[in-house]
Amino acid sequence: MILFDDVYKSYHNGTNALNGVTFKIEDGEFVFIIGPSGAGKSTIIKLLMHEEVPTGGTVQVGEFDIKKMRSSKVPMLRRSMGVVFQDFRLIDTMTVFDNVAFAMRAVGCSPRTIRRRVPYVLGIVGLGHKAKNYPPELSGGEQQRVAMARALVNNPHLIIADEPTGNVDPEMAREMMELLNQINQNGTTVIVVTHDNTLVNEFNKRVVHIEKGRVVSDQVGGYYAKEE
Amino acid sequence: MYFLKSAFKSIRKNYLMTFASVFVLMACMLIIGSAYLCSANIGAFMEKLGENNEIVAYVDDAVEESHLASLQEEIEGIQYVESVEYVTKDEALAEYQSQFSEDASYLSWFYGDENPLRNEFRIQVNEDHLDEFEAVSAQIAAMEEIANVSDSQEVVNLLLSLRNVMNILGFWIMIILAVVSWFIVSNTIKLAMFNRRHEINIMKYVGATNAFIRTPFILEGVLIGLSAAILSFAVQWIVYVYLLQPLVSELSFVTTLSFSELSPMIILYFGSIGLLVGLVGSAFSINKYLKV
Repeated sequence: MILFDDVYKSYHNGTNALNGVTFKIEDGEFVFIIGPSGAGKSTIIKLLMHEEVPTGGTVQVGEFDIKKMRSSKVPMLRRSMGVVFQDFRLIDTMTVFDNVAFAMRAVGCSPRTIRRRVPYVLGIVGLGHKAKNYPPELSGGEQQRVAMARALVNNPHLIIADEPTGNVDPEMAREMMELLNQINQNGTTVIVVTHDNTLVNEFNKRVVHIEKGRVVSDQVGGYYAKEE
Repeated sequence: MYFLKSAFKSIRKNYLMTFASVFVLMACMLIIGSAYLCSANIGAFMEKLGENNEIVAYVDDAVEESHLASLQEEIEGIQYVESVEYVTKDEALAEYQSQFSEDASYLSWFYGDENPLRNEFRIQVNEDHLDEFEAVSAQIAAMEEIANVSDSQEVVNLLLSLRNVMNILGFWIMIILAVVSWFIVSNTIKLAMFNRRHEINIMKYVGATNAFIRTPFILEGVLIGLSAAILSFAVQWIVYVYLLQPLVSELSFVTTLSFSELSPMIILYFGSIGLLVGLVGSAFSINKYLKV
């Protein structure tokens, strides 16, 4: 369960990114967080990952209270989630296999487990045949799927996708969403952060709409579509 | 295993900087090692000289033999005198002849059967009070019964000051070089981390602990330190045994200490410097990229 309770966040430069955000996401939900750029979407991701700490209010991610937790527990928090970054954040000098395996090594998995698990996950995202390639040899959509595989590989309870349609063509974006949907069907909580309304309209899911650091609507169904 | 692989990978990728830091560390170690070898050799030479820190006091011919015993007691009573040995002029002559057998013939040529030497006292000064050597020597020279005195004062003084300079110089050079090599190693590691900041960043995001991220870099620092230590030891050994020792024995009568006698200390020095600089240099440079 993820809980934002009256969360405020202001940065040192004086920007007030969040001004009292409240929402709750139950385990196994599929949620879009939408809003224009500068609305506070990326701050929400940063808070979820404990990259930032709220200035006011409470952020709860599973058993972790983001504000009060000890920094030594942060690795544990991050192991409970998989994040697909907008810019993918792959390591260009490592093969696709190693890019994914690396996330498993970082949490201390045995080489044997890694050898078995990585091809399986690459198979899920449809990149089994590209294991030996390097990221620059892949298309944007393929790179995104490698990032997806890396996020999935440690079996997290929560997947966060940051602008999954930002850097790929529409066809790829749709495939990506199907994949996220599938993962969600298996019980994983999925949060998709985006400003792409067509995507939101296509999937009939819960939408949390953020603007100027506030939640302006929180309901099931395409928000943009309703406006018309 | 993963850590070691990762450390080697980073060294390979960053080999220029790695070589640079190994070389600087080696320079540091070699200077420290050379200073140690010099100081150990001077020390050994001084010890030998110390055993030999003899004042020879020649007894005036006019002194009665019966008076010699009380004269010896008087000299023994002087402060810092360790021991006094009486050598008759016949004994001295015999010793002289045996030492310089080839040249001794000129003595009889000059003096016939007459012994030109004097009775003498050989006086040892306490080794811990070598700085009083001169005073003791002067005090003995002032005695009425003593014709004159010869001592190795100048050599002792020279060596004393040489050793002092060596110690002070060696100490400061060591400090400066230790700082320089720490700086270089920590910069090498910083560069290695900079090259992999992306990777480190992602590792943090997927939940790697700081210790996990740090380990390969610390290992890299230690590998740099230890390889510098091993290389320096080899260089020091070759230079000392194949260059310095033959040179010294060619040019002077001084005998040098054998390398194997000195190597345990050198291994200790080099090993601890390498380990310390590698460890400290890397450990301190790592925190910057971990704050994500």
